[in-house]
Amino acid sequence: MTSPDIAQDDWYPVAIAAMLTAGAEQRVTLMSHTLRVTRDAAGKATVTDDHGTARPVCEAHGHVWSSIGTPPHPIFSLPEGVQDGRRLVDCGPVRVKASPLRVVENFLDIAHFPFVHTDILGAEPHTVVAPYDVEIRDTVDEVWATKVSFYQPQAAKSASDGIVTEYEYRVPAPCATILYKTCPPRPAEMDVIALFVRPLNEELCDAYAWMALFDDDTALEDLIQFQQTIFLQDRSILENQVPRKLPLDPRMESPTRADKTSIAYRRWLKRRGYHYGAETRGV
Amino acid sequence: MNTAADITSWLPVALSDGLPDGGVMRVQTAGHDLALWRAHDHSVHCVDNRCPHRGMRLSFGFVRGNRLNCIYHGWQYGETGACAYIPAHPELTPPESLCVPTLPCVDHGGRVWITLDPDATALPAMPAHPGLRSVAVNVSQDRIQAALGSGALPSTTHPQRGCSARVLDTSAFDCRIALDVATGDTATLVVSIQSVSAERSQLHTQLTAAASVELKVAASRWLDALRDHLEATA
Amino acid sequence: MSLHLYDYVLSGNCYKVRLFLALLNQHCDVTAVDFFPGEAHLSPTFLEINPAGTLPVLTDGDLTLCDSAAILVYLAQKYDNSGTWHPSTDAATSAWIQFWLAFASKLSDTVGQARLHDMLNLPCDIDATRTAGHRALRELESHLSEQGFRGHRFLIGDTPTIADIACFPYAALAPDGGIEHDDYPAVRRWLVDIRRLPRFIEMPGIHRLHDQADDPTP
Repeated sequence: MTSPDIAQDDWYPVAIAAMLTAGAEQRVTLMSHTLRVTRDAAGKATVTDDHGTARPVCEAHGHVWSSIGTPPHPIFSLPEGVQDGRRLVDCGPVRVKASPLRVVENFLDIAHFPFVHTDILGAEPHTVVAPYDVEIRDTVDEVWATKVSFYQPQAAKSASDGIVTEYEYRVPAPCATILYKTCPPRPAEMDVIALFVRPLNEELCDAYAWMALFDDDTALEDLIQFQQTIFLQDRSILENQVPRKLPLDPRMESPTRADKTSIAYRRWLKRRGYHYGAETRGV
Repeated sequence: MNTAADITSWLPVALSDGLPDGGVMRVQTAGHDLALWRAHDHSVHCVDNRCPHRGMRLSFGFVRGNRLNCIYHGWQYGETGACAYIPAHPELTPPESLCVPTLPCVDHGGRVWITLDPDATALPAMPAHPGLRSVAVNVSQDRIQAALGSGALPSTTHPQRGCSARVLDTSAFDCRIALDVATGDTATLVVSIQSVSAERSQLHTQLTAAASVELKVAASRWLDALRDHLEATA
Repeated sequence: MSLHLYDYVLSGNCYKVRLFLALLNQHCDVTAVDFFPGEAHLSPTFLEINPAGTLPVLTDGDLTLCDSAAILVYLAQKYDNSGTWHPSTDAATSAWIQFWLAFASKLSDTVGQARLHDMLNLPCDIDATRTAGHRALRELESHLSEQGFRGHRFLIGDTPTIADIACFPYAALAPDGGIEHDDYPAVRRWLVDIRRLPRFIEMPGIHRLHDQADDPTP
């Protein structure tokens, strides 16, 4: 049993902003609470709980966000999301029978690419994970992995040949993670791919993928379906990890050097006391 | 001396024919989640269904040579359960402590058996009849044994494939059932019951002699009827 | 004149067409339709192509086909030079192909619906749908067991046909909807046999058979 106290004060995605049209109403579950998400004629989004009480609401990074608690901070910033020239792509929520923390951790992992995203994000014999840097940035209280590189046969919809892709990973909140990666058409910029996760409960979640890309050529539908392909390849893995919750006791699973980001992520969750969706036995 | 507990500590979990070289399958019994696999040297192995790295079920994995590979990151486990290779770090020799727990597992009498008892006595000799099929039944092992013990077995009525059935004998390992087919043919079915959970079982079935396709189909349809009968009366 | 497929990457019915085209080594232009989250299959533009608003749609010159079974039949008769994918040697074989094409719809209505529920939160009575899905898989299991007695690896005989292509995707994707394969050994073996076919392609939820790859291990 874990306390939702820390976790309930975070922001979580409750709707795709563009799909919440004026007059529309969506019902979603957040941490076992039913929320009603609406938008009035003036364009203002409102979230109320099952007692009719208004919940905190904000719109950012393509989504409407809310909380069953009282967020002490505004939502994390993502400047690339408003940068000129980027295409913003909503990929939709996909439901996964797994802890939201397992979903985030999988997003931070590159060693699985050759086996789970075969011939797209990785391929044997290019399985080596080169050393990279990981830090918990105390000033912003975020996990960052930098200088991550990996050989990829088709790194993005706009890539046709294999390249060594360079990545940075950022975890600005326990259930949100952002990937900055080599942008084939604009070598000076980084594409942004984010995954925002809403826990329905500790072992079930909806994951919203969202992208901010420099790619004027690829059809929107192809961009969405490329990302859905990747995420749905992960889904069958995520639903078969045991236990469903993310173990925070380092003795329960056996990481290696390639798992430095995941190790830092688990340590950061433990330090923050964020236990929702975590297996805390032994901690 | 074998005690009864020794004898029954072996659980039939698959037909030998149901696990080809390079095959991997999931086995659940008594709350245990296990992965059963066969190496290309034809040996059978049973491990905890959980990769120690990130908890992925190994039954989703694949076999190359004589190693079981996790689908998630390709970690390879040898026949002892020890991790032999980590693709992200090919130069690394995995520490001995990095291993997946194994269970005793044998291919014997046309069936694959496991035991949760590390001191279990070896299985006695038994004939390796050819496998017919494994059938899942949503009924507990106890209820199936009771139903077979009562002798009240269903019949099928098709003019050619119809079968009447009677129990010949029951041992600690299996139950032999005589099938009389409408055509006048007869067959002896060996049924080994595996408990999956409190509500589910598997019947691993064999025929004691070579049989025609028609006879196998008749026996297979009778097994469908047996399953439906067991589930309807449970 | 060329083949053109309106496709959604997560649809098992669209995958039937992609897979069969790959097995036939037949080129086809593909347009992705944003079924989810965009619901583009219900847009006026798409309804002009297919008033039923369903995927896949295949066009070949002036011909427009809007059902995966119809598309498989068409592709087999027109583009399969081997003549093995839709054998019509005798009345019974033709009828059995029809039977399994219809059975594939049953899989899509049960196992496929459970998958849409679990994956994309589409409403359905999930317990009843899963129960019906298990019943369909039992039917498939019994038939494939009997095919095994005959020495036949596939639904019709010992070579694959469009019946196998029609039934494969939703049978393979059943775990996506909480319907595990554990109880169906003959189905599991058949799924592997299809995945081993030359030029086989995957879709998300169906992983590569890595045991066939060269092992780079020292």
